[in-house]
Amino acid sequence: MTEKISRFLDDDLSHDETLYLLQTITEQPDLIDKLQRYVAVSHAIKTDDFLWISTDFVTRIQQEIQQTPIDGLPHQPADGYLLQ
Amino acid sequence: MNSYQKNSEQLDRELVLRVQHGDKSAFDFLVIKYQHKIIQLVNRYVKDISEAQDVAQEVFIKAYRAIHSFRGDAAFYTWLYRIAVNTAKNDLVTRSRRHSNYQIDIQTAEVVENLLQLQDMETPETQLLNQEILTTIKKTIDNLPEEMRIAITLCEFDGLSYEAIAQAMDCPVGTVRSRIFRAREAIDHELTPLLIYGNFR
Repeated sequence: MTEKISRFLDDDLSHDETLYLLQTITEQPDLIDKLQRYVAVSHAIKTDDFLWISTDFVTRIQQEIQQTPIDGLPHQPADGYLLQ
Repeated sequence: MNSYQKNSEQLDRELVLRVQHGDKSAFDFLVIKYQHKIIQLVNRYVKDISEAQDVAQEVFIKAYRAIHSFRGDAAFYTWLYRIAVNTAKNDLVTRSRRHSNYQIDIQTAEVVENLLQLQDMETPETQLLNQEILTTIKKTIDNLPEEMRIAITLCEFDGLSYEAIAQAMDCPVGTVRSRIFRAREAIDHELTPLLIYGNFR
């Protein structure tokens, strides 16, 4: 599975492989850790800047959306502009 | 558009549809898929990785709330990108307003300037650790067997696809995949003690 994470970073997985990997990652926190480390290293090689993304980033969003309703209004502003 | 992009956009459309039909776990997949791009994008605006993650979290929540307004006219990432840029810009505006209010309160421009500098400043320990991490990555790459070093270099520095690397190195694509993976594992192996020491979680 870790080799698939490496290929995922390089856009080398097929539709089904990507879906399977995403499913597996959500079930196995150690794979999230691996993904974050691979990404941080890849970014560091490219930019000479070590940018660490917290391993609980996805969990925090998961928790938040459990309590977040989806807006059903068709014209709900989604572009993030401030409403003055 | 290459086959990966086609696959990727198709998968995004399917995941969005699932979210629109109430499947929250499908949104987790979209977060995992795009978290790095969005955080790196937001960080280019806010220039603070901790703040960037908070803003990126806001971006994903906004996208989730408004997922019904996504009609698939553009790619999902294009839609998410626009939300991210606007949210990052708003964050900058909010932060500058917060600072200018504070400035009026204390009427001391110097203090505000110092506060802004402090906000951006890493501790010497963090700087040292980050430098050590970068040095370890470079040293590990330098010490890799030649085939692995060339493969990871062509992939990361030059951004070549596996097919292009296979052509350049005159070997099968499967060999390229394996060389890049083994290079990443070697770097990861060397880096893990430093990350544990630095409490990177």
